[in-house]
Amino acid sequence: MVWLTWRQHRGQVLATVAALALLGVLLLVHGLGNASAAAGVARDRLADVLGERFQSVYVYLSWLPIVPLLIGVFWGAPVLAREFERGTHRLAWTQSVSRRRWLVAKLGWLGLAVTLAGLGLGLMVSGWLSTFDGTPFVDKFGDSAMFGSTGVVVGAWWLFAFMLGTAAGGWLKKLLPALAVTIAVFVLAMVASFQVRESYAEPLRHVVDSPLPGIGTYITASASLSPAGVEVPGDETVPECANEGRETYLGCVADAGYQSVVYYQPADRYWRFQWTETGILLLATVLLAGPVVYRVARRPV
Amino acid sequence: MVWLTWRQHRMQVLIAAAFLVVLGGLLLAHGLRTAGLVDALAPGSAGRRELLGQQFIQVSKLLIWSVLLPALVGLFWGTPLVAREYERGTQRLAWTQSVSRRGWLGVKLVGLGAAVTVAGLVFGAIMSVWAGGFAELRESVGLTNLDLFVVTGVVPAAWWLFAFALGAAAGAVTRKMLPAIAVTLGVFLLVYMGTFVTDVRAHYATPVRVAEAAPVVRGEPWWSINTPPGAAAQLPAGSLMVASGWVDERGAVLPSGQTWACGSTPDYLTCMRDKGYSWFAEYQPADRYWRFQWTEAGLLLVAALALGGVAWHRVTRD
Repeated sequence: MVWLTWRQHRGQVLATVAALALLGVLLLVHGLGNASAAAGVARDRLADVLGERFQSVYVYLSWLPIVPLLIGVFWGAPVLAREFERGTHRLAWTQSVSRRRWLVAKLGWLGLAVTLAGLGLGLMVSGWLSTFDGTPFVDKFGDSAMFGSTGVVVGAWWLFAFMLGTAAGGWLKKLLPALAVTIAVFVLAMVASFQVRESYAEPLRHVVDSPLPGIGTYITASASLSPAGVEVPGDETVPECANEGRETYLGCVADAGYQSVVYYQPADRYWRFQWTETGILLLATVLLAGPVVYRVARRPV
Repeated sequence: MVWLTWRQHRMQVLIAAAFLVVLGGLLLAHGLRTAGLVDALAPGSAGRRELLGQQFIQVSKLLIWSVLLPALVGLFWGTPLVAREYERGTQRLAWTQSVSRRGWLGVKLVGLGAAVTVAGLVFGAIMSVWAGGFAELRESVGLTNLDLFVVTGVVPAAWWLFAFALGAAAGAVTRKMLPAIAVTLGVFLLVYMGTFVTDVRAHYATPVRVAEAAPVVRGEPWWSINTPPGAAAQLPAGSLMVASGWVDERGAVLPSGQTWACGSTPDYLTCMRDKGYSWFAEYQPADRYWRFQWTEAGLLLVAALALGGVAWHRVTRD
């Protein structure tokens, strides 16, 4: 079964490995360039020196959260949909290998490969980000693209997308509809995760009369605190200054005695949030895999 | 042939129609709600701008996903056109009928191409009407917001047609579904992202150049209250900034390293002026919006025709 899985999916495996290798080499070269550019530079000037270098690569890396969609499309959907569409399931499932074993082996090996590839990508991105240590624009926690591409959650996203594609293929039995469902559900899941991510734990509150604790905090909301203790959420206008023009608004707010309040997640919660999201995704993966295995194993050939 | 095209591709057409109806309904509701909310507030007040901006962001933050729409059109409309026939072997049935291969492909390409273009025009119209409700905000007017430029007017129809033709060509060349999908997505993303990365839209026409003695800033987004100190003027609303910087007396542009010569002095502007430097900015004014729309649509149309020709050649030559 291992050989069969490899033989049937070697195109996907080779393409993914090649893409990751290419990305790894590019990030490595760029990271080494960062290290040499930052050598001997004073800490407060680091941001000036590395700012442009960061932006030129980040503009592409911010698309990384959508890469799992490609995994779902190219790795996941063909596993079952292609077998059904071509009728080769009649050949594959009437061999000495039982249908359940065939499915578990395929999902297991491909799932493992996908997860390892995702984790590898996470390591590469984390490594590249670490060459920017000490600068304020490395926001592994608060930036949704960086959070979703580092640590363990990236492997979970790749596995989830793969299982989503497989489940769609197993249920719909045709490639194009399976692709449509995979893409739709994945996009919804991704958008939902961006909204929900900040709520994995209760945020801490900090009145801005002293500097915010540490780099790497994840600011989830801001507000204005009136002298009387009433909080006005950041996206509403303060009642006393509702009719101020754009230029005079902040001055009016300050004159009325308002203080700034931020709600944030401290940097040390990064791993807690990573594991929370990983747990949710793994649960979703299992919920997708179970019915697929059950239904496919029971279906008459 | 027309009936056959409909019968084989009705799912794509129906899903596209359903999507447009749902999108139109959602944006209509959003626009009406916005109009209702801002009615009570005085024009030009911070409260009104705040509310408008907030409502605008609710939808515009999703504009980043607009890259998916033409990609999906290419994937679902374009690639199955030829590749699915080859993969299933049904081309042997389809092309040995009384309708010639050219007739078959011609009707399919033109019919589906027209359908895709109409769908794209409807989408562009929906987005244009929605964005029109936010004309008070600088970032929704004219050319400032390129993410919005790509989804309004005639440009989305051109992108959808281009992606469709790309999918058809990829399918005709590779003759298998998965490689065709890979090629379609890869090439489309390269081209689409390429137009943003190379900022090609800023160069569709020679930009207007202004020279001032102090930095001219583009109109700041609604949430930014801080205008740079000493900013003399603002670019006309809705314009697209192409380039800006300091020039010396001879007109040579200063490299960014030297602009910090007066860096920390409190009278930064007087210092730069004394050294003989003046500010310049190149921009595209907002009234060029439709000119740029048609430029981009024209370029994409040419590309789509070329790709259609590739598909035609590959299919009809055997």
